[in-house]
Amino acid sequence: MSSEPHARVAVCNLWKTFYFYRYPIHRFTSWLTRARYGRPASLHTLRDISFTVVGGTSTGIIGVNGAGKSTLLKIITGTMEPTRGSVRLDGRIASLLELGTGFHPLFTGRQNIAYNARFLGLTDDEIEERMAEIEAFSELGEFLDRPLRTYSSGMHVRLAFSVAASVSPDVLVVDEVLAVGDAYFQQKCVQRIREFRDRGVTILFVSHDPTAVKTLCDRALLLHDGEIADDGPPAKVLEHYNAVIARKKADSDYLALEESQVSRGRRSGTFASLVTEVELLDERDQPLRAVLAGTEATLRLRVFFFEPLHEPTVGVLIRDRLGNEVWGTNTWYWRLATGDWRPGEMLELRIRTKLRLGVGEYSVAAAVHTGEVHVFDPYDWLEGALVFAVVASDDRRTVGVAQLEPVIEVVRGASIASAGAVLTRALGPIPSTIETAGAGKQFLRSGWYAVEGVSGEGFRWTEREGAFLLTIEAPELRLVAGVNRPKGAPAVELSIRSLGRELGRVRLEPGLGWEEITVHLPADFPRGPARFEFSVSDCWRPCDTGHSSDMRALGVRLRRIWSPAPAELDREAAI
Amino acid sequence: MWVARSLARHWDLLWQMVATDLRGRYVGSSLGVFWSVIHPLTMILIYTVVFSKVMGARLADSSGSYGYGIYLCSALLPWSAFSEVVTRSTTLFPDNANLVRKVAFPKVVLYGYVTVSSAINLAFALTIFLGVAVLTGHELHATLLLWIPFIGLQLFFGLGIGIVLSVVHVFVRDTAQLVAVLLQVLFWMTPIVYVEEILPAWLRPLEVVNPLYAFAVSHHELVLKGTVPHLGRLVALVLLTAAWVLLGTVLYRRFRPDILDEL
Repeated sequence: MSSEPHARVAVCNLWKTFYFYRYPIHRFTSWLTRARYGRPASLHTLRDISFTVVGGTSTGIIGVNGAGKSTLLKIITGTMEPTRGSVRLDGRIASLLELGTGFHPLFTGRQNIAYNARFLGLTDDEIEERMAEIEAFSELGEFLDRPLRTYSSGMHVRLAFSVAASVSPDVLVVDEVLAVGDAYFQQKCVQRIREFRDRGVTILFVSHDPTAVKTLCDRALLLHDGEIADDGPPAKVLEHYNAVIARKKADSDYLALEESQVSRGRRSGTFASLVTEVELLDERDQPLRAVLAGTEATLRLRVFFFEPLHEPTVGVLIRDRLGNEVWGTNTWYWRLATGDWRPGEMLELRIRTKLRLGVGEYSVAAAVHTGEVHVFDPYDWLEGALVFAVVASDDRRTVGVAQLEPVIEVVRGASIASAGAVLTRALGPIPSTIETAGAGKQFLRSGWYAVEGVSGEGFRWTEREGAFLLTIEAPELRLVAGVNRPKGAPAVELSIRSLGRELGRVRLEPGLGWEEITVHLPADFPRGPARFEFSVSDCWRPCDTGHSSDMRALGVRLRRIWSPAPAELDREAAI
Repeated sequence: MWVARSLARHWDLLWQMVATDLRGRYVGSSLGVFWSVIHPLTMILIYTVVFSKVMGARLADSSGSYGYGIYLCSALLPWSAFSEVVTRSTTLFPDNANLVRKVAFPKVVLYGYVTVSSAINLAFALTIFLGVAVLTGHELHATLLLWIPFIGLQLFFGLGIGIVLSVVHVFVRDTAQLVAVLLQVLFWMTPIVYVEEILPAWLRPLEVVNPLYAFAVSHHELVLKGTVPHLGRLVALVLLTAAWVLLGTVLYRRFRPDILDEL
């Protein structure tokens, strides 16, 4: 090593553009035809990257997936060629990019060591010299004389890393290899990389694991969209990285909403109220997707009410990557009064806490119900409402289950959202017609019996009260309904409400047939998706009238619920 | 001569790949590398004994009772090595995609190991062939000394074609199949199994069109007749080989980044 620091790796105005041809042959013919035919789509993976790495330092390269990290490393190690620009290397480079390249399944471990080491740039003499060291490091024992096909995948990796670790490079490129093998061997690998660093080997390290970058590197580069977005001490760059993750996640959520409205979480319940938003916020109320362990953050839930509710219970549950419950509570457990809520109002639950969670990815489930647990009146249960990452704040690591000490408060949120917007955001497109026995039946939310009917004509009975979701096209709601009651029995009244306001009331005369009923909605009732509640004045109890011993209280038979399109109304008016 | 320099620098790697290639074929079998002797030995014995003794195939000029076997092998052995080089070179990048994608090493080593590996197998076969020739009482001409470098020329010719095809094959994956078919056609357009005199007059232009024809005829002259091939023909073959290697080099250098992207 020379005493004066000098550039080991110099990357100069590096561009990499991938061309996507319709057919591979166009790549070939475009050369002959001077690209007049089969013009490719292109993607700039790296845009004008320049940096130098001084000998004896270790540099971490971080960035979200697709930022260009791997492409950059491949160009530096020489397995890919840049479109423009250059990479200058001083000394021998070794990469732990691809472990076990060229392993032959029928050769023994020892034979494979010799073969593999050759690709890593060792000469025959060096291989012979280091064989004992490699064998010892791999801890494979007698397996070294058995063919590779008898190895477990863990042993495979151990063998590969042992060979790779035996080279003595001037520049070492490491890409996510630490994610392999068991914890013991991983630790050994990290130890070996540290040794390299202490020996003055220049290290280029790519990782998604911010902790590893923090502990192993003295400089970090943040790649974003093929450009160097930041360059500096790891702690500073990691902060920037978290901001990029947050932005990217927000972007993709937005896109997901555009494409498929239902993609955000899985819901179940009656939807008398809906969890409209679950966010993790920093102290300035900006959304976060990655948090340093132990820093204070606020988990904000917003709940929209469709029906008047008294003392609803609002709860959250943080799950780890494997779905285990890590921490959770609800306003009932927390002995927190939530108060009375009118339709159209928005509740905001703010849980402020130091996130004393281990490093990893977590997801949040949220629920609204009454009472202690969600089996009583399950209004909404939203699984996977939010995913966030906890990253290490310093070199010290912990494992285990956390004890959080939050401050929880309930406040009245600004009711900025309309009911329609809340429904669309939460559930995606809602139809304007529901066949109660078929299409759209998932939008019948509560108060419905199973499908009945003969000769292919299905219908459902309602309970005394219930709810459904429907998109309103015109100020009319139509039903194909009927009541099974003996002739001469009093008529049944069906009341339709939305957001706690009665919209109309219709009388249904007893009879065995079907009737088409129109409910005229108030003129100011907004078009678009809405949640409707209904109640039936009187239920038919077959046992009361001596017709049957069935204890079920059956309300009204409904076959079809729809809101006619304006065009349909015009056509009817013309007739 | 970047090719030669590069090969020299990575001789260790080349040699390791050749050894692995040869060993890899017979790994796990108890006779191991001996199979590379047994295969050609059987083939040569069958051709010389069966064709000469059992089927009684004789050459017109009747150079000994084993003449036909010698005639057949003298052109067939180089042809086999040639067609092996062409076939293996063509699919060289997909076959070694794993290596090419993941490790930085001069790709020219790949061509090297395919050629050297075929050459070594050929060397086994030639040794046995010459041994059988001596045992059956065939007269060994001094021109045999020229024969060995001439076979080398044919391998280089195959390598040149192989480099061109290997680049094309990355982008047009039908190439390998087409090559297999064309090699079959080419084989029967070359006087290896048959004697060139039996060709009807209208097929004579083959001699000009098909360079393998010239190679085969030269093999017969060098081994059977003990005469040196026409100098013009030798020069033409050398120039043709150089042209193919040059074309392959130009194509490879132009498309190297694309090959790495496409794999």
